[in-house]
Amino acid sequence: MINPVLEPELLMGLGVLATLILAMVVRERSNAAYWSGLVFAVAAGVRSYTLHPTSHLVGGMMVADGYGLVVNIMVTAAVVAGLLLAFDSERYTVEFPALLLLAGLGGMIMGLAANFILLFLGLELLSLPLYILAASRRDARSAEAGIKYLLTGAFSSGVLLFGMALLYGSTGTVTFINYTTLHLVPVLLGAGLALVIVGLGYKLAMVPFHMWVPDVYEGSPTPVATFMAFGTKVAAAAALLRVLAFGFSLTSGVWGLALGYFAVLTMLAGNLMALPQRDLKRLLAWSGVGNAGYVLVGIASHTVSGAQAALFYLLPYGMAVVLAFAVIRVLEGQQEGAQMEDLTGLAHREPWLAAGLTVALLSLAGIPLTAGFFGKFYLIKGALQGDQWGMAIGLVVATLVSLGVYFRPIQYMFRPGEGRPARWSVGAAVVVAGAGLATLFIGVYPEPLLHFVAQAATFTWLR
Amino acid sequence: MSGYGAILIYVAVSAVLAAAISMASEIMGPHAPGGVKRESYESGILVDRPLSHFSVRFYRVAMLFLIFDVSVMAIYPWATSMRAFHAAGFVKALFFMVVLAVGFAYVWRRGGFKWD
Amino acid sequence: MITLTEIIGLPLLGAATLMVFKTILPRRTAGIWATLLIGVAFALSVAATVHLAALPAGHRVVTGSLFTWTTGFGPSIAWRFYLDPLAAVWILIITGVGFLIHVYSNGYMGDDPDVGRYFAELNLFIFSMLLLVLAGNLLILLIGWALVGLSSYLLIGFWYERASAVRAAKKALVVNTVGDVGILIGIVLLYQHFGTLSYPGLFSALQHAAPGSAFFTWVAILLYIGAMAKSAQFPLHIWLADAMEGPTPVSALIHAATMVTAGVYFMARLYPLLHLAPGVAAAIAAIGAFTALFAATVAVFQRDIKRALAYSTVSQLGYMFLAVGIGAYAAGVFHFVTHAFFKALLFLAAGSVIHALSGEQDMQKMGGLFRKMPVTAVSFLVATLAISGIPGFAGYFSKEAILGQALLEGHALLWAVGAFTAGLTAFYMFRVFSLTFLGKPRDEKLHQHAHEAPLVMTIPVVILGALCIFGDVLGGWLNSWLGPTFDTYAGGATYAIRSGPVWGTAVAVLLALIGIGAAIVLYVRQGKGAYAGNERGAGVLGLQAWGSDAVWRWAAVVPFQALGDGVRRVNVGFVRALDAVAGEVAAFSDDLRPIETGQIRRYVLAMMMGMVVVLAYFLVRM
Repeated sequence: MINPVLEPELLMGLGVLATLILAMVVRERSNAAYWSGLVFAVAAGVRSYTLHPTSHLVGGMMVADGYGLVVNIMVTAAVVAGLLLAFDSERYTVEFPALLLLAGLGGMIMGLAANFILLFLGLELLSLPLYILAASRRDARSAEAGIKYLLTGAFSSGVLLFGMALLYGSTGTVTFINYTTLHLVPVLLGAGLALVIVGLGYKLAMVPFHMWVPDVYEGSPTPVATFMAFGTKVAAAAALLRVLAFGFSLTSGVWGLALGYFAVLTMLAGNLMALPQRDLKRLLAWSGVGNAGYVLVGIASHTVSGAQAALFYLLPYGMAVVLAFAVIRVLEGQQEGAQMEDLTGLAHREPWLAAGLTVALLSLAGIPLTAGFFGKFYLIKGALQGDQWGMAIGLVVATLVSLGVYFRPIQYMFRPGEGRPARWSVGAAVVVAGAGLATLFIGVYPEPLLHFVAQAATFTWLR
Repeated sequence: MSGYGAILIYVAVSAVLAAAISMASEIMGPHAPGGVKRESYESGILVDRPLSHFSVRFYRVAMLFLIFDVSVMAIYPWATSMRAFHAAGFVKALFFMVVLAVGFAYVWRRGGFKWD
Repeated sequence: MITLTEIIGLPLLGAATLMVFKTILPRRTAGIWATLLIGVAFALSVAATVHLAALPAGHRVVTGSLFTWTTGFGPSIAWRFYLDPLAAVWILIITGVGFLIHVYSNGYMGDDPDVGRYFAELNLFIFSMLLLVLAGNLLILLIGWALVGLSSYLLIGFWYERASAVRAAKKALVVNTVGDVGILIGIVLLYQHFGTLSYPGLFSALQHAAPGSAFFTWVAILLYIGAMAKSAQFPLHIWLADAMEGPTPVSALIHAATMVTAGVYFMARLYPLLHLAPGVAAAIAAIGAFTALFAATVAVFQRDIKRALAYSTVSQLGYMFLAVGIGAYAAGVFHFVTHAFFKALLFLAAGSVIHALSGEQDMQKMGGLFRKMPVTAVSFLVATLAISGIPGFAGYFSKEAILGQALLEGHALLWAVGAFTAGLTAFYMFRVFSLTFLGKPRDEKLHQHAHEAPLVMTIPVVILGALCIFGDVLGGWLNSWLGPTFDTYAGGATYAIRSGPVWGTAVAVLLALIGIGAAIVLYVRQGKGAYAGNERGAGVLGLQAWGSDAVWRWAAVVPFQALGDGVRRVNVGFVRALDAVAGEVAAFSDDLRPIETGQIRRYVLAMMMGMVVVLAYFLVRM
């Protein structure tokens, strides 16, 4: 009755309902809704892993393939991380888990959309709960984050929708597979594609559509920022890759070079702007912009290994950024946010916390034996395979700049002195341990994951 | 005469009917000019000057109405061809309504319909 | 294979256990445990070498894969270890000299409050170095390479309360990272081109390539940049002298005997590649010769005993690269071995002196210590004679092997530079020896409290002294031992150690004797101090390595700072420009007042502009 490929999505949807019902019936301070959200999100992730899909179109709306499942797993991981970090009903509303699950469901739908209508539905399902979540803390900065996210997000949705309309106008279809036979690009189609890239680039934090990122990350509650940094980026990158590498694979001459320029611009701007940041969440936000540029390198190189590298890179990046946000969560205590100075002496006071942050930063910097190294290694390889020297050089330069970004917090941690005391919670400890071990494990032995991801991201018609 | 002719007749009749009813009430109804009737009416909001601030509660009710109204609209197409979808279609529509009902119950429970 | 894993694993075990248990271990046990593990690793290395020697000459390779690392995106990369005669030489020195230095450290660092961390990091370094040398493919080598850089960073900055130590550690890391990036790009290029990174696979593939293509030149240059950074070749030599901020045994182990020679190992390992890039090989030799001369002239002016020895190390590394560049691989490796002996000794003896003078490193405060510390002084003298190239000592044979080969291969200029540098070396080394041990004490108070080092420190020094005298016998053995390795692929043809013309040797020895004589006259007869000649004029420049730090500051640091400032300014300017445009549309945006910053319209404006650019691009490209 229901296509088994959709079972993870179904589980996630049931999770939303269950958490909502629980939110109605239990006491205000109960954790029950969080538990139920956690159970359903984990179940959706596990079901995604156990499915063995064959690539086929379902009703012209979605593709049932390993690619969507990898996206599912990453998005559910982001949801789980967000829930674990928010496991604190004292501070977050009972709707929190339901909204987060809803956003996750949107991200999952974006991963398997094979059609612009479903893509847009997924995008809005992802965005709308996040607008609310961004503003869910009752203070000025959170409200500012929410309204900024909403206004710029609505703008980008409009752009995306307009682009889709132009594409429909020039081809008469919104299904990706119908674009694969295009060789020539009429003007209208080119304009539509440009606007689609802009719309999705906004969610991915592509420069110059990235301006919302630092303010929104800084203002949002940390668990929400965690989900945005990982889940939203995964969904946006996956959708962009699917549209371009799957739909417009034969017309890469039109978008490949443009996206390459954006990749280099994004990498450099993100890392350069991360250099002077003192607020850790802003630093991670700018770092997220830079990392979006890395992912774009893989997409723009338009090779099999580039696509694989782009999808794979999201995982090391996500693990590292989740880990870093978890550390901030432990540090921030009752107030939100943490400054660079708060790290002072952390290595002596909280060696495990410091170790976790160090692993995260080293992975983001791409140091060998952490997951980030392999991510970048394969991105460079993908770029070179596509004969895109400029992007490879840009990536190396950006990485060099980023060393300065990521070593500064480490320096602070080893500096003697008193920073802010840490407030561990069980959820945060689980996230720190899980993401830290995953980062190291992928760095030491990436083989099984590489295999899994590489199979998932093979669009056979790429060269 | 093609099928569109019927629509044309339908439009004409409804226009005539609408005009007739309003004219009838204008001619036959009682008249009491003055008082609050002179002011413009906007869903109960008192409009004394342009661009004034008024309560967000109006928007809340309007949005809630809109959400459920639009969602229920999706039932019509299913209803017209219910038999073609058999039991499976019925179960799916039921699931859809359950989702709506949970949402409705949630809004109710959280006091979404209370004015104060 | 089991042995290789254990040789690499033992130091790692030591590092891990010490890191975890350093706070609960009794003071002395940390050092004993670490030393014991390295001793066992040394024994295993000897066993592995013996096993290797038992194999037939052409097939002396022990290799095995721990597990397949990655296959996902292309040809597979395995955690493969690889022991051949070349690697065997290195592991013997790393674990052997490393063991002696561990023993010595028990005395030198025994009173440090953080001794557990010290030995953990020292073991970590040995592990990294072994991983580098025993790697079976270039990716594992790079991991070892980076870990070596990391542990060097940790050890230079061991006394992290000292700002100068932290600065020096950072400088070392930055310079080394430049090299790492070069190697990373080079490796990616090779992988892209050949689809493999394992030594046999890569070198076999290289056999079929024609020499001199631009591709191999670029790859060789990139990899050489890595070797250059690690082995402190001009102009990336700037970090080594500052690295002396670390504890003295660290300087002996890392910055004299082992780590800095990783570049020599790397280049010798890649001889089939150098064969394909003859221009790069020539450049390596030329830069090596220049580095040797340059560092020797700097060493002449140093006041700090460790800095003098550091520049001496740079100079000797120049000799090794000179050998590698002209294809005299065995001679280069031979010089690496003898250098490990005498330079480790020099540093350890210097450490004993520093220890005796309660931390004083300025040679102006030394003098006349021969009587107080006879064992140390005699050992130091032996090593000084060895490095000066006096016949009968180990250094003489290895240096002559290099210089003789240069002459035989027709590189007269390189020989002349090398021979002249040999004279300079003798001069500055006897300057150091005279200033430290001979003459009158220049600081009575320090001199009075000076004392001979304890046995745990003198025994390693004496053992190294014996090796400095008898190490020359290794030359012949190395020749036959390394022969098959360098014969396997094209490019190692001139590897063998041959003796050059007698007149060449005579000139070099004569120059060395002149240097010794000049040093004795100046610093013993005339009693000049350590500050003589470096207080004004060219001497100040010499003290500061002819201003190479300042040049780097202007060439690299200042532009980057300017770039950073520029980026900030551009960013501010960009926002201001947006503001100006935003003013035009401000009337529309008044409804957004409640957000007090008002920046959101700027964001949307930026997005609009970006969108216009994208659209324009797409439409123009149509």
